[in-house]
Amino acid sequence: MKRSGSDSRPRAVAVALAGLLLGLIAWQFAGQRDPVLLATPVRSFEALAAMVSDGTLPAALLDTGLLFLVGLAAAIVGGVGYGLVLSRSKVLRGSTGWLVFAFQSVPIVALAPLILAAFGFGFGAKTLVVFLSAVFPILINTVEGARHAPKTLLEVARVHRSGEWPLWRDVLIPHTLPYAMSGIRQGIAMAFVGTFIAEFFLQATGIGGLLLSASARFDSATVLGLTVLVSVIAALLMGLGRRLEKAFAPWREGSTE
Amino acid sequence: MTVLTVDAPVRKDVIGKVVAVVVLLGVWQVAGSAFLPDYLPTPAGVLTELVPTLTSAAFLTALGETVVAVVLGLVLGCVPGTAAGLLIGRVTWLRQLTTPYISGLYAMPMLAIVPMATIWFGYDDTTRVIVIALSAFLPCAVSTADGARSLPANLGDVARVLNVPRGRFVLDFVLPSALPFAVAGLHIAVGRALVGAAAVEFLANIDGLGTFILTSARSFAQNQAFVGVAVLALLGVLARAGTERLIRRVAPWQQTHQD
Repeated sequence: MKRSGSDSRPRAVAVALAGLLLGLIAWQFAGQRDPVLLATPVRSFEALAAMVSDGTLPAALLDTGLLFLVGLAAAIVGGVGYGLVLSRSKVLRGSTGWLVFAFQSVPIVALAPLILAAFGFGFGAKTLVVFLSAVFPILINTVEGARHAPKTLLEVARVHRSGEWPLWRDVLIPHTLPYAMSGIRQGIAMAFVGTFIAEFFLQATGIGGLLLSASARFDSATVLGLTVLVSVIAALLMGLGRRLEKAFAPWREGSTE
Repeated sequence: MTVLTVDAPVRKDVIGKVVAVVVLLGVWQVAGSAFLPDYLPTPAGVLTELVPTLTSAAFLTALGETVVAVVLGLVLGCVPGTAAGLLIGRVTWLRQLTTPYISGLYAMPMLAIVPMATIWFGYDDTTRVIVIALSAFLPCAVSTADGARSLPANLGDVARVLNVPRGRFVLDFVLPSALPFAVAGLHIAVGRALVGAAAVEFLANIDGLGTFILTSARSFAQNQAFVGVAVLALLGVLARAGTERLIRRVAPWQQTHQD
């Protein structure tokens, strides 16, 4: 019973690949025994390939990707922006800071029917869902980061009559960014969830729409193929977020006083 | 930035908070009734609907359905999840073998699994419990595995040198270091289970709080729907506060995981 630090990287990858292969084989066997409920991986792959060749899958990916990116971008701008404003304004922080935490606990899924009723199912309404899903972790981490901006630097800047903009550029933003990045990592995951909320409950477009219609047809090959595709995309996005966070982490080390 | 006065900020804060709430509710009320009457819940409307909704039989049955399903799903997900976490945290080859599945499923929005689940388990309560259990299983397994791995190497060495039997090693070494992580996993699982429940109820049309919100919103009872949303949010807050207290009790040094 040694601590697991000893596992070598190539071996880990090899075993993980073996695990994937085992799973595929098991899936193939199970699919052959019960072809209605569980399509085989070969059939799922063929279903995906057919959707690629007739253009529905690329179009759906583009739809979903656009919604995800626009919503996430809005959440980053809004979250980091308002977070920085909150860090500079004691009045706003005291009066609205706690509201942020209250809003954060509202499940966006449950709000979806109300958003649908009030704002319809256009691109704006769907973007709103993605934005609401992603903005709070970004906002909260940004505020947290701004709190870690060294007080001495802020005071020195004030003593030297630094303008508001140089203060942001040289002190506030560099010290807040690593924390905002943690928020953005969480925001990426939440925006992906929000994209599916929008596509499932507002208007069946994109990958979510394809999933729903295939599920209604009991087309298990397509549903399985898409579900696996979604989980691969999700894992890639998580990896991207972690890399982003790591890239800015050294700044965080430097800021500890 | 440093403030020297002691009592002034507190009072100012209260005034600020009240002003913020009044402004927020005011804008909401005016905008809601001016631009989107009948389509947007308003504070006044929610207030008048609050008591009738909370005491209506339809709401109470829906609430009961969802809470029972969530509790059942949490038990069915977290118990095997924690056990699996202990296993994959300590057994290297098993962890490597399952990594693609655990990280793929953990990253995935559980919503996206519902279409598959409805094909497999039908549009009924089974699907709901299974999706909730799966949403709960993954954070429990991932977090507990982290905890089981976090046992310091020198403690493992000590156990080996002293020839501690395997059973005692798990009980006296692995479990204590994994316990706070297991509770942190539960903390995340509770939130995901509630959201998962509402999502499944929407998609599979199963009776519960989610369907209560959906049917209210569709029949232009927006205020009633909003009461449902607020209750769901409140359940989440209460449950998370509960697990947070639990974390502080079993591991006062542990910070709660953010999710």
